[in-house]
Amino acid sequence: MGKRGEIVMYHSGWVFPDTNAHGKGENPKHLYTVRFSSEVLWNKPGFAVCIDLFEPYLESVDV
Amino acid sequence: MSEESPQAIRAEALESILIEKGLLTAKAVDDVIALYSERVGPLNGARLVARAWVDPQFKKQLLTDATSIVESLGFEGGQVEKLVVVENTDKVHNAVVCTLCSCYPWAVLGLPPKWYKDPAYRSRIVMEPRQVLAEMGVGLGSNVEIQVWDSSAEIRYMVLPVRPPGTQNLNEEQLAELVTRDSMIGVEVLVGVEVPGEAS
Repeated sequence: MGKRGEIVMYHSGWVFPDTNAHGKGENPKHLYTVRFSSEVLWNKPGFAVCIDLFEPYLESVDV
Repeated sequence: MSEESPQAIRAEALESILIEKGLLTAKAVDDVIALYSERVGPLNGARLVARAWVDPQFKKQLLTDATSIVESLGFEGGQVEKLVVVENTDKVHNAVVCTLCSCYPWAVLGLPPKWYKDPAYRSRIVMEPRQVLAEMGVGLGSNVEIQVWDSSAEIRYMVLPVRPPGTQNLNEEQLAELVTRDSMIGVEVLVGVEVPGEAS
């Protein structure tokens, strides 16, 4: 089960380290900055964490 | 003289092996050290911040496309394939981390401080940023929302700190001198300056 976040930036395609670092090619993937509220991440109020995530790390959800 | 740390001894051993094998020259190492200790440093970032404080058009551009600004200014040092600048206000405080390792916007801030690579900072700033910032001297009201930016890919982040009070009469160059490295990582809030001859 993932955590629900909001895409706040889109950075176009970037070399995918998960393949590139293993000699399996650059395999560019869409890169997003996803903002997670602290309530969703840690069940604590008052802050948010914005994480750069490649598309394969994400699942779409119904809004 | 203090004893060298195990890390320093290991780095020196690696350096001498690489030089011995002809994979590296001592000059290349010296050049990189000179680049980051003399020519690239937080002053680059401080100049961007000061200009943004005095020039609203520049600020707008810095917040929407910092990468092309850095490119056009020709900062040396690499490590900014894409730079994003996030603005601190009286309602939102931003701080930067790399939870995976130590990714850092070298071209605008120079070499990262030691604590930036510390597992304690990297793990705690995303779990309890208010406490971590308080420990580092930044007391934020509960009405201020904290946003932590994790440089988990190739994007590098820099904070545009709030312009400190009492600086209306300073010019861009004087303002740049006030901007610290830590304020651009988001772990320091710049305090106002005493204006000579003016009682507060």
